[in-house]
Amino acid sequence: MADIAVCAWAFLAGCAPDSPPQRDLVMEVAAAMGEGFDTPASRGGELYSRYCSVCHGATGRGDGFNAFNLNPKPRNFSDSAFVSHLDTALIRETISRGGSAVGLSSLMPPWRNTLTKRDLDDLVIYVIELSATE
Amino acid sequence: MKTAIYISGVLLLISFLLILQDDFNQQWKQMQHRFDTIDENRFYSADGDAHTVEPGIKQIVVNGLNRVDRCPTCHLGVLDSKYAHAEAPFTTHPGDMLRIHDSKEFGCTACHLGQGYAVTSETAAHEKLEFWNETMLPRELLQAGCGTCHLSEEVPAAPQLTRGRLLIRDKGCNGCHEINSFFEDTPRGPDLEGIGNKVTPAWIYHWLKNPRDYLKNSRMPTFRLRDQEIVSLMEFLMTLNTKDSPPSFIRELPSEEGNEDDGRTLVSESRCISCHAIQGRGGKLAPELERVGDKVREAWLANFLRNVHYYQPEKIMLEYNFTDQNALDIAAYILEEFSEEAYELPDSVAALLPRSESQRKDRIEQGRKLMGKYGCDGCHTIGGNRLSPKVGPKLTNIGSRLESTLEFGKITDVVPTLYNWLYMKIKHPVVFDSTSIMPDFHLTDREAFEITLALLGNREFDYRGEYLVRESERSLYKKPAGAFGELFERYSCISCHSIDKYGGDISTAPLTIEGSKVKYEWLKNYLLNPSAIRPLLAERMPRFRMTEREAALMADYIKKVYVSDDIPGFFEYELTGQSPDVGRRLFMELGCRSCHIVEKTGGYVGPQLDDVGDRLEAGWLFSWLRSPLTYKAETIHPDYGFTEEQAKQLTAYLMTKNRGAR
Repeated sequence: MADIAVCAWAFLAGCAPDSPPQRDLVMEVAAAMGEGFDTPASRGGELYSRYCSVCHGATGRGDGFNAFNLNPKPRNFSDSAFVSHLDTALIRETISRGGSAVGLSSLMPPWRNTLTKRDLDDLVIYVIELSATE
Repeated sequence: MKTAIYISGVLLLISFLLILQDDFNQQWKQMQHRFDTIDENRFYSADGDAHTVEPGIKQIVVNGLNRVDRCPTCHLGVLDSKYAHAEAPFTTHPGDMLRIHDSKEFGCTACHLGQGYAVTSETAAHEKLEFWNETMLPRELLQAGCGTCHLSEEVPAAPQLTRGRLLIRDKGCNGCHEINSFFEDTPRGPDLEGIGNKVTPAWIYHWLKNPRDYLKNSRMPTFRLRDQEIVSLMEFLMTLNTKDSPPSFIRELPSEEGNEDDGRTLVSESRCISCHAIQGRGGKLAPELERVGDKVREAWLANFLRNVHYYQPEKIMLEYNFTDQNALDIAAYILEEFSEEAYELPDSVAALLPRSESQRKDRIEQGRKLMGKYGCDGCHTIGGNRLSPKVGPKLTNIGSRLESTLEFGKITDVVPTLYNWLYMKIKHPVVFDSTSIMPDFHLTDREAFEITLALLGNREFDYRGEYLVRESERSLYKKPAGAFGELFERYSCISCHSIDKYGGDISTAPLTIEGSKVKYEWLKNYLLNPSAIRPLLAERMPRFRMTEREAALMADYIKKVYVSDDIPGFFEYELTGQSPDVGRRLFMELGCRSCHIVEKTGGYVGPQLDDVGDRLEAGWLFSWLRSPLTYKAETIHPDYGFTEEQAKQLTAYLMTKNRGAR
């Protein structure tokens, strides 16, 4: 009798056995790759390590392998007290038009013909992030 | 009777009204009403009857692709940048893809898939739709869509697709599977003729058991072989020993004849590290040398170094022009330095070795069959021949495979899509069928994802030819001919240098326009005795020990053939009247010395410039300074945006930096 009741209940409930939740593996991988991938800061990070790290150092301490050779020394971005007082427009301008355009050293070259507007935006975001992670 | 007629009349009327209501309430009509009221359009809808959009179905007809796409019926803001922040489905098309692919010419579903005729969200196949095989590609796999028309390995605007296709080639998938024809069908592993002279049976056993035991990053995948099978393969491979009479044969000599110290010097001078990694440092073109002393026989190695292209018909490694003694010295050094522990057969395997000649013959025959069964010859030819046809199922147009035909075996906890099936199969070949012979390629999640994406992009299509992109820049490359061609092959230049984007990337100097760049005398001397131009790089030109005549011939050909029309020749004449002092001042003001050494001081980021006037052509220097990115997209040399005058001033100064002036 009980069996019949269970069956009847199951029938009414659509006879659907509970199926386990299904995983969408490829979408999971895509999501995992997407984290920190192709964000402004990550794009900026790639640009930074390509163009800037040789003087400013991998972590922004101004200690790149070419720093020994430079006078004045490359800016130390890990100094958050200093960076937080900087205007983002000034950082952008320095990268874009070089040190001499903003009254700093000409050892910092202009990158406006190499980097796109978006590259510059992404780099500024990354440089500010560098100071925050210290 | 009458009652029946009345009732059916009323029923007819009701159904007619229902149909009318249904038509009035169509999803796309509601969408078009909603579009009028979104933030971006409030201004228009405020006065009541003004519509921002002409009501009706909107479609794009693309004859060349056999498509009629009605997607813009609901995606109303897709072509107008005003709707960049509008709610879905009214948003502007993101990115700038529509600038390269005009929607009037390409429509929507040729890239995104889905059902173009549909005017409801469900039937458009945004999600899986029964009896419709072109479910829209999820955003994550969108680059697969590019693959339908872009029929070349490299698709610049689709980096994931490109990486996937390059992985397919690199892993040698097409050794076992038929895949769409644009994949280069060259064997990925070395030819096996002569392996019997090269290695020991014990090494073969360990290598076949687990290649990663010998080489951490081995490209050879891991097969699931039983010891019995390995012994048969081992017996067969040891019969491939006919490659024993190289043109310059060194008879088998005891190792005392080689001088290890001289060998060490030769290895360092030959820049083996540019291609072979040693203790984790160095190039990735050729296998690591970490334990090569446990693998090869000393006599074979000496003969190999003396006759590289005899043993390696693929000619990836160059001929070094070593003498017999050089070869013996290097072999002695390598066997001593690059070994950990000699390989031995485990007792249980030694017990399986054939005990009689007839048993041995059986094993050899069995080994030959196993070569075909496991598709070994998909990657390794024997004397240039394949023993058997491709063993894997065809993957041509796999992206159009019906999902209903996929076998998921016992797997029920994964969404049964084609992309999940491909991903799982690539990542764990036995996941659906424990008897599968497909080996394990040890792919990372990302690699398996990219290969999946690339395979999804191989689809059936009925598009007109003008939509298909077959050529890539790589296909412009033509192998040089004549005496230069012979030397070019002898020194395997293309393994490190690229020409028209074809070839290796070990050298930072592509040869495409090298003739316009460097001076003849410098080039000839550099070929004879290469010096480090960029001291920071571990990869350097090896010393070829070529003759003066060979160097002159190569330099002459490069100067005449590998040139650019855009770089002016005899540019020195254009510099008359320029004062080097003005250029020098500019050079110092700009801080060029932060990266370049000039007048004995400066940085190491770029090449030192104290003899640049001997090395580079004035026309090249001028063109480079004007626009470095034109000549090398990946350069980190800043583009200062010099005027013609400034570039001339700098060139005039730099051309004074030569030996004559010092």
